[in-house]
Amino acid sequence: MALNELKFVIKADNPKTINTEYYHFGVVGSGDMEVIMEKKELDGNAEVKIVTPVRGFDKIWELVVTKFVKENQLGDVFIDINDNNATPVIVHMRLRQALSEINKLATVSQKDIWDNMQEKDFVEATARERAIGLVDEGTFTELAGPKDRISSPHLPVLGEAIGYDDGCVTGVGLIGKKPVFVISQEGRFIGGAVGEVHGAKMVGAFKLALKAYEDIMNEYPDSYEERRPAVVISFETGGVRLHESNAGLLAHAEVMDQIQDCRGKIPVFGVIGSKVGCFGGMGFVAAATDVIIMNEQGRLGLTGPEVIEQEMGKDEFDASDKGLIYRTTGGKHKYIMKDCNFLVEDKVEDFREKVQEVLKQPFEEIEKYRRIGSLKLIEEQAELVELAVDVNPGDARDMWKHIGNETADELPELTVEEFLKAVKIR
Amino acid sequence: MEIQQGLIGKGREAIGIIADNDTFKENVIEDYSFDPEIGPGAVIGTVNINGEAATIIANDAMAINPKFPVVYFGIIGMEEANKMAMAVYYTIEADKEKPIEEKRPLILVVDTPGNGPGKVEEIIGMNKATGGYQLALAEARKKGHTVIAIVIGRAISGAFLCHGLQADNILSLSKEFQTMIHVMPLTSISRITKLDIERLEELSKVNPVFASGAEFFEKLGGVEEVVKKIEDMPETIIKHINEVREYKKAGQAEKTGPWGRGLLGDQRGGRVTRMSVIEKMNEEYEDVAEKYLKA
Repeated sequence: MALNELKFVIKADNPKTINTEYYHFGVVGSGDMEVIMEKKELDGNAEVKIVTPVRGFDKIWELVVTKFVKENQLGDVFIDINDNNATPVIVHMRLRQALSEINKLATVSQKDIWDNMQEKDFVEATARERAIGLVDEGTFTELAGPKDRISSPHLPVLGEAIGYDDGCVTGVGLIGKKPVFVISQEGRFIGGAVGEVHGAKMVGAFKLALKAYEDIMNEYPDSYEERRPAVVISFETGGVRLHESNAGLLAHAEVMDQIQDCRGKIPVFGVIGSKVGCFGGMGFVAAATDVIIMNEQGRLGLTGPEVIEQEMGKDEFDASDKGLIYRTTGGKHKYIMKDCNFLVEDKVEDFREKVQEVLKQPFEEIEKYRRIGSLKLIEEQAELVELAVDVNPGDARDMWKHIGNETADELPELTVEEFLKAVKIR
Repeated sequence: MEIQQGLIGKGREAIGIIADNDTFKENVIEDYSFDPEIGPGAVIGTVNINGEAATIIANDAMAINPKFPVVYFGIIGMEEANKMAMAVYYTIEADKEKPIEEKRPLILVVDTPGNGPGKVEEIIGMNKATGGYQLALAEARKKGHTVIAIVIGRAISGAFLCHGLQADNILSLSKEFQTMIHVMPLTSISRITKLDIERLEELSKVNPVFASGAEFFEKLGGVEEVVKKIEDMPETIIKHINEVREYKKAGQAEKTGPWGRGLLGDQRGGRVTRMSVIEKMNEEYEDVAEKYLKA
């Protein structure tokens, strides 16, 4: 049941290679694909490799990629595709987009690209765009990125599409002088779910952040504060990847363990504002971070709406009620409950600026944003649970009212700016 | 496979088997005592093991929590998780001045099918309760306490993450005792992933990465040791307490806990890609580290 691997060697009439050594483009979402284009000595040929779960369409693949290579007269280039059921039209479009991005590299500066990224809606941004955009311009280095072609060894066994980042972008950038280790999850790839490789990348990023902390403490014993590293996780996940569930589960425990290792050393940020939200075991991990930043679209919880409905019935939770879902797990509710520390607008820039702003505070202050991680904090949480017994909220609005929001019904309708002015939090 | 009478749903009975005779003091940890009305699905207290005081944390499958209807049959609710976390913090507090060899062990008796999946739980933020318990256990472990988990029944998904997977070492009764360790039954995996159930069943017989059960978790390095007889539980726990303590005294705590199980997964051949990914990241970081450390 392994994946279908195709290879084509194509000769154009007047081939020329691409004007970059390496370029990666796209996300292996459902009905989508990623491609790496690389300069390679191939006697003027273009070589195309495709890995796809789809069988029986080899001839169509050949037609599509031959058309692309010939119409662009490409040669001495290796085109490496991971596909997940993309239609021929999408394949052709993605290849053209990738090439167009490559051609732009000559005229557009890295700064322009980063500036554009800042203006992007966070909720729409890919994991890689978020990773690059959350740190200072031009500072992000991806670690174990697509170039390394590390993918899940478990997905092909099930005939499932693979991706060269396994749905998790990891790397290091700077915010000011602080090395910031970024973990950014891609919801388009199997819902951002965590398998062996994805989980290992998360753990690897934490390990490096802790190592950087030790190195900086040794190197700058008197001025380490301005260089104190941080970890930023841009969550977009439902938790464990069922296709390799046991490995995914064990990876969750490792990440939790790493967060505890960071205590008293480096701040860990949870940034939640992407489509899938942050659920399942990763809901625990998010809760365990020091600072949580969300947008209105971000959702955080343990059990997703469909699972509650399925387990407890439609009377308990109607998973088709979008308003109910956002009231229960959305950014505004989490802000009212102090489960998120900051609610921001939905641009990549808004998130980056908030991380930057918080990082300017002394570490001891940053640690005060925590919700859990000490007896005192657990006692506070236990009080909140007893309050829930008293209030017995049938809807999150009951809690909002109890906290003192007389006009609870209007809160979901307000803009973020209006909301932040009007709202009373726990 | 010979089916044997197991301990599913019998958390309290298991405490009796693990502890020295009649030493269980429920809801008491040193000078602290707990309100029995709060978090009835979690059983906590102090026992003696091999003549030494230990904190015990177990699930009570027979209890229901009248305040939170999702809590029954061993499910961990918000009250339960907070109570479990407090038990850990009180344990740390009680022994904070003591050297590693005198810090009392924490024994997690695991028989839980899940975390409370309800609306109130999401409104209040159940993820904090169970997340808080995990951090507490990790802290106890890093402060020199020995944390041993033993799966006597069900260790399912997020509930196992919360109650079990933060231990130094994890033991499990073998499958003859109907122990269950998994994320989700295959029927549910099939429904959600739209993968063919026959294919999944076939793979589940050989592939530890998503097959269910203690033996497969052992292969993955997710369980240190499988216990084959109920009467062997006490001595196996004592053996692991001693082993973990030796590591901690020798400054080798990284051989235990989630990271240690990662190493074990590599050694046992169940998770071999994991380490190569981490090594690749280290390698690539080394090439650029200067730029970030000396910005």
